[in-house]
Order: sequence, then structure tokens, then C-alpha cells
Amino acid sequence: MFDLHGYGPSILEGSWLTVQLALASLAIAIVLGMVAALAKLSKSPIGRGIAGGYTTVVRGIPELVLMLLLFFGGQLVINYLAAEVIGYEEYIDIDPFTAGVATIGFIYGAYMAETFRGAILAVHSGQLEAGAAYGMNKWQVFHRILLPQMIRFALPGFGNNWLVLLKATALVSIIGLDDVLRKAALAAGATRLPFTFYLTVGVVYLVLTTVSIILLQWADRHYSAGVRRA
Amino acid sequence: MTELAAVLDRILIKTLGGVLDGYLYPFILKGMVVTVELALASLAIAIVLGMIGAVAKLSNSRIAKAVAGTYTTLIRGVPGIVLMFIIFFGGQLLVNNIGDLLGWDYIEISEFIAGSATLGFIFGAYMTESFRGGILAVPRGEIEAGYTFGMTAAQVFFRITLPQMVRHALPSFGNNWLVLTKETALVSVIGLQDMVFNASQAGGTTRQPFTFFFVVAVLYLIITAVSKVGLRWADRRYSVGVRRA
Repeated sequence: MFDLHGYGPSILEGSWLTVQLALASLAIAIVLGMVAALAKLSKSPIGRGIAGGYTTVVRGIPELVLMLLLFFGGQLVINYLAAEVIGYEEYIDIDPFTAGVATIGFIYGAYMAETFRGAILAVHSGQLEAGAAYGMNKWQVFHRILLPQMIRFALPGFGNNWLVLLKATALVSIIGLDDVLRKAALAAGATRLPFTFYLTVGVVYLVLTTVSIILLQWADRHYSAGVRRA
Repeated sequence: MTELAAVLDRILIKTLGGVLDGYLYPFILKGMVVTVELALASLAIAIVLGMIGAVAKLSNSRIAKAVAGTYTTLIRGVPGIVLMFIIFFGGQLLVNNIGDLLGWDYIEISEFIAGSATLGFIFGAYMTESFRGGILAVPRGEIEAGYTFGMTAAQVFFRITLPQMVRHALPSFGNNWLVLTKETALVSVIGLQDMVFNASQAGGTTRQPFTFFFVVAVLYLIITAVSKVGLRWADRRYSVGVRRA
């Protein structure tokens, strides 16, 4: 394909980091999204207010700005709080991987919240009431009735969010994480072949998104078992 | 809880007072003008490309369909920042290689042109899908009626398809516009002095990155809030005569 001038393994290493970063962020996004979706549908005005503020603000600010804000600002605030409140005087350094995962997870938690909220609303409320009538507690109703059924409704939006999240990981190269884009940028600078290396990164992302789409299609079939196709 | 609030207040007062005065106008607000200009220039390119892409996808020509299909698939599968690097660095090389063959001097592509071309090219792919949906939502009979009246293809498009498709395309057009506005932040990476670039400069100089990125975040929220008002107005304007659900 391309002559990568010996930078192939380095790019591959970066791709692996991108995958790890995306999966770790996804885990955080799912948890935050689920909590925010339940808060939005709860009766508590405080829960609804916080979740509403979270989704509105996060979805209205560029990811890059949020990332810089959380990476630099978060570092400052944590150190300030540690020094002022707890009296911990040593400087706390947040490593780029943690910062990147936390930021991307925090951002996509807001998008997941909307996806999950829609999916929860799509589950027939009679089913939930039946569960309660059988004497199940809230947690049992949630993971026995709500969760298995909402996954089917959430999957299309979830898949979109995952693809966008995967692509958003490219931004962490800016805060100094050695992901596939940064490795390529270094190689491009050293060899003066930007086109070759950035094109390679483009292909890497296309491969990752294609594999994702195949897995999502499988999940869609799996969770639609017993449901007639339109 | 009150203790935490007090600490955050102290951080904000300490930083927002004083420091911002000298930087807000010359840096941040000027950067905001660049951001808005860039977003509008990219939007214009995206609308043109999106319209061509949508018409190509719906045409009978196999080649046009394949080209438009490849365009939307590839662009939507690669991160914006990677495309920006490819087009900014690669595009520069390509233009100069072509220039060499034709005997031109070295051509330096400005960051603004590279940025708006890239963003326009990316969002043209998203607009293609929005416009395709909008065109499909116009009843086929209306278009056939236009032809029966003896209108040319262009006349049918401008008199019948366009005014009606706008209403159907507006919601996803609005989404694309909001995402595009936020994607402009990426041009700071290729060195265009938009508000994110200026904020990171000012944040570095004053060692108050939090303050400046916070202000930039608020300015983006203002841009998106104003956009939403404009979009709602357009939605009302193009839904005249249509009953509300």
C-alpha cells in the first residue's frame, strides 16, 4: 500500500491506544448517560435540572474546548481544591490518558443520555407496572424488564454516538496523548510526507468504523430476536 | 456544598477580574469574529456541495451516484481533524506539485481558506444526506405537474422542489450547522487565529487557561443560542400554510 518508512509499528501502537481510549470513554459515557437518562425521567426537580443543564451545556460547547477546559482547568481546580480544602500540598499531575478518557466520557455521556431517554420511553409502561405488580423492587424491574428491552431501541442512536466518539478520540492528540493521529503527525514531521501518514490514519479510522458497524449489526440482530422485521 | 461554592467563587473572581480586561477585546472577541466568518464561509461551501451531492445521489447516472456515495461514506467515516490535516498539509503539497508541473511559483494556502475549504468539504457530505431527505419528502406529483406545465428541469427545481424541500431539510440542516459551528474550533490546530487559538495563547501567557477556555465556552453557547433563534424563525417562515402537528 504505502511505504511507511519504518513507522508502521508506531502507527499500529497509536491505533491500539485509540481503541483503548475509545472503549474506556465509552464505558464512562454509558454509565453517565444511564444516570442522566434516569435523572431526566425521574420526578425529582433537582435531578431533572442537573441532568438538563448537563446535556444542554455539554452539547453546546465544542469538544476541543471542553477538552482543553477539563484538561487545563480540571488540573488547576483539583490542585486548588486539594491545597485549600484538604491541605494536600503536592502538585497533582493528571496524565493525558485519564484526562482524555474522562473528558470524552463526560461529553458523550450527554449524548448517550438523550439516546437512553428515548429508549426508556419506548418500553411499554405496562411492562414496568406488571413487574412492580409481581413484587419486584426497582432494581429488579430495571435490569429484568427495562434494560433488556430498551437496548433494542437504544442501539441505532448508540451506534451513531459510538462512531462519533471513536472519531472524537483524534482530539486527544492535541493534549499530548500518543494516539494514532499524534504518532502520524510525528512521522509526518520527520519524513516530510504528511499526505502518506494522514491518509494512513484516515484508513485506520475507516477500518475501525467498518468493524464497529459490523458488530453493531450483529448486536441489532441479537437484541431483535423475536421481533418481526418491518 | 457552600464551602465548595465559595472556593469556586474565589477561583473565578481571582481569575475573571483583572486578567480578562486586557485580553477580552483584542484577542477573544476578534477571534470570535474569525470563528463566525469561518463558520459562515464553510456553510456556504457545504450547502453548494451538499446540493450537488444530493442531486447526484438521486440522479439516474450510475457514475454520479457512485461518486456521491463514496464522498459521503469516506468523509463521514474519518475524523474532522484528520481530514483537516490531510487537506491542509496534503492539499498544500498537491497544489504545489501541480503548480510545479505548470511552472507556477510556490503557493501558500492561507489557513482561513484551508480551514473553510476543509470544513465545507466535510459538512457538504452531511448536508448531502439532509438535502437528499428533503428532496425525497417533496411529493412526486408536484414535480411531475411542473414538467407537464412545460417547465425545464431548472425551473422545476427552483420553483417547486427548492421552496418545499427547505421545510423538510431545516431540522437536520440546523443540527449540521450547530455541529459545524463547533467544529470550527479545530482550525485553531492548523494555526488559524480563531477564538480557541487566541484563548490558548492568552491562557498560556497569563497562566489562566481555565478562565479563557471558560469564556470561550460561554461565547460558543451564545453563538449556538443565537443560531437556534434564527433557525426557529426560518422554521416558522418555511412552514407558512402548513398545519402544525
